[in-house]
Amino acid sequence: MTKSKRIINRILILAGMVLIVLSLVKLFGASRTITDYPTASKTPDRMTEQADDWSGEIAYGVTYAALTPLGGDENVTADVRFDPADDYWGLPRSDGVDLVAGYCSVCHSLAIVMQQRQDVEGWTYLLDWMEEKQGMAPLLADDRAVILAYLSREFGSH
Amino acid sequence: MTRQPSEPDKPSRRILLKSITGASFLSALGAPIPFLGNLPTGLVPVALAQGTSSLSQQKPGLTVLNDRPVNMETPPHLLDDAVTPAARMFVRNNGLPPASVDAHSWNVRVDGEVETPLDLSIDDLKTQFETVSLQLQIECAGNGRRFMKPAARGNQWSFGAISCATWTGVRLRDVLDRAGLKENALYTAHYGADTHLSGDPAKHPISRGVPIAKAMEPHTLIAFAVNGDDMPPLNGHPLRLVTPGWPGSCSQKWLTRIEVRDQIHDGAKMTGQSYRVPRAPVHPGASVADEDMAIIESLPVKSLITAPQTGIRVSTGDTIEVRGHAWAGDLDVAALDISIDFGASWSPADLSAPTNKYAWQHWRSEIRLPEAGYYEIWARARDAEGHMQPPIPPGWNPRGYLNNMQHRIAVFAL
Repeated sequence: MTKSKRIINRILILAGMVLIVLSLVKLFGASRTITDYPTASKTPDRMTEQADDWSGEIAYGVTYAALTPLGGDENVTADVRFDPADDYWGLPRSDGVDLVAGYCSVCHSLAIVMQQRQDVEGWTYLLDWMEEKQGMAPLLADDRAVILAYLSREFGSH
Repeated sequence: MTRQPSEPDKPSRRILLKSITGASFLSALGAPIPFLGNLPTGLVPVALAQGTSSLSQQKPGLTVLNDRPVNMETPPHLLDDAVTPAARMFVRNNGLPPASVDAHSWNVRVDGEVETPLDLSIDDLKTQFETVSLQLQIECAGNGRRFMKPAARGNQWSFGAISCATWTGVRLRDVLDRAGLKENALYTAHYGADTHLSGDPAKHPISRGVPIAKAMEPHTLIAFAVNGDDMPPLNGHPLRLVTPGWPGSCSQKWLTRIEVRDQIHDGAKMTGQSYRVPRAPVHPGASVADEDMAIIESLPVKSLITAPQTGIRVSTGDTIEVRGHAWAGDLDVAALDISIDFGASWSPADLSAPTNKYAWQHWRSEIRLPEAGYYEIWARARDAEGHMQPPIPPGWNPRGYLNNMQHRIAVFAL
């Protein structure tokens, strides 16, 4: 093979590679992929904050009872159950039960309330969400305090 | 925890029921009731009084998590059929279904970033577009939430917010092609005829959407029938989207409108923390800022053991058949392994190919329990990209989505 032929061969191979790359770019550039839309701004670095907030415990207690798939789990097992026949739908009778029964049953069933296990922060978030997004009338400050105390006492997280 | 007996002078539920439309209710509570005037007065007491009996008539054997809005899941052993019967499809409602539905006058509007907005009756869909029937899985993104610790907000689904039925309809892609997508079309926005729980007509109970590429995926359907029949009222009759492999909330029920948008849709339950997970992993119980959350797209690999039913007693040494289904969002399932020794050893099950993409795949195996005792059968699916189901809930997130941990059943060898 002469020197000039080798050079021509190299140029052809190079040109071929450029063409392949260009067509690939065109192919993928033109097609819509499922992530081909703008995402929110870059994730802020809150990892230090997250690390500071950690309890110090690995969550080894995550279990599932194969024998009783709908029970035996602390998230949802308590000595209270939704009861459509009860005057207060089975809500535990303690201070604030009337307010919770009254306010929360206007739009939705108490069944969804009684499934939850949230701390004060979690219940505060939910009441805010109800007021701000779901059309619940703003609670009077006194009522809100009683309702929050009831929910985090009777349906608190463990 | 102290429990005080009900005080007789407090308004009981029966008094509330009697007076819910009257001023006495307001004074009894000492507070205004939001949107009381908007509540369909005939409906609310009925909804309160009906309890859960009519639900169990419509969906025998399903577990009622919530009766208003209705949320019901299917115990795994009732999902044994290759194609899920309509009565065994789970229900996840965000609002109140339309009270009366006339399939003949039903209309769906296609508008927004399209060349030609369309108004289509169900008859138009049937006559102007190719009709297709596909087995498609629909799963709630919160399926498995019950096992998140700390507890995550929302309905506490265990394993049964999944179905795979035969849906008949037209490809959303064909309808969007007819309307003609504009160059800036980016995302869909779906609207249905259900009403917000508050009764406020300005609010949508849920309005989600998908990127155009998912809308144009040929398995995304506007469906008017399931298993060759009308779909159950609770599952969206007469018209719904079926967006397989993605959160069920992308499959709008009682579909009335598809708007094409030039931005990511910001309708009800698209924003904040709804159907979103942290962009980066967080420790269990972390509070995560809204801007650190990303929209869920394809759901992860998962499987169910649908036979035998958990708790079964068998004779030691007998050969028993174990079977179920596996699915993996946008992907296929490549393998399914089972273990009878708490995950110490695994053996492959026979796994069928999907009838069509997005149909769940069936698996079966035979086991023999060597000596008397308590056993658990664990099932672990692996998707085409090598992801496997973990034994415990993965990636805790504030709303408890995407728990694809292995399903297990208990078996006693006697």
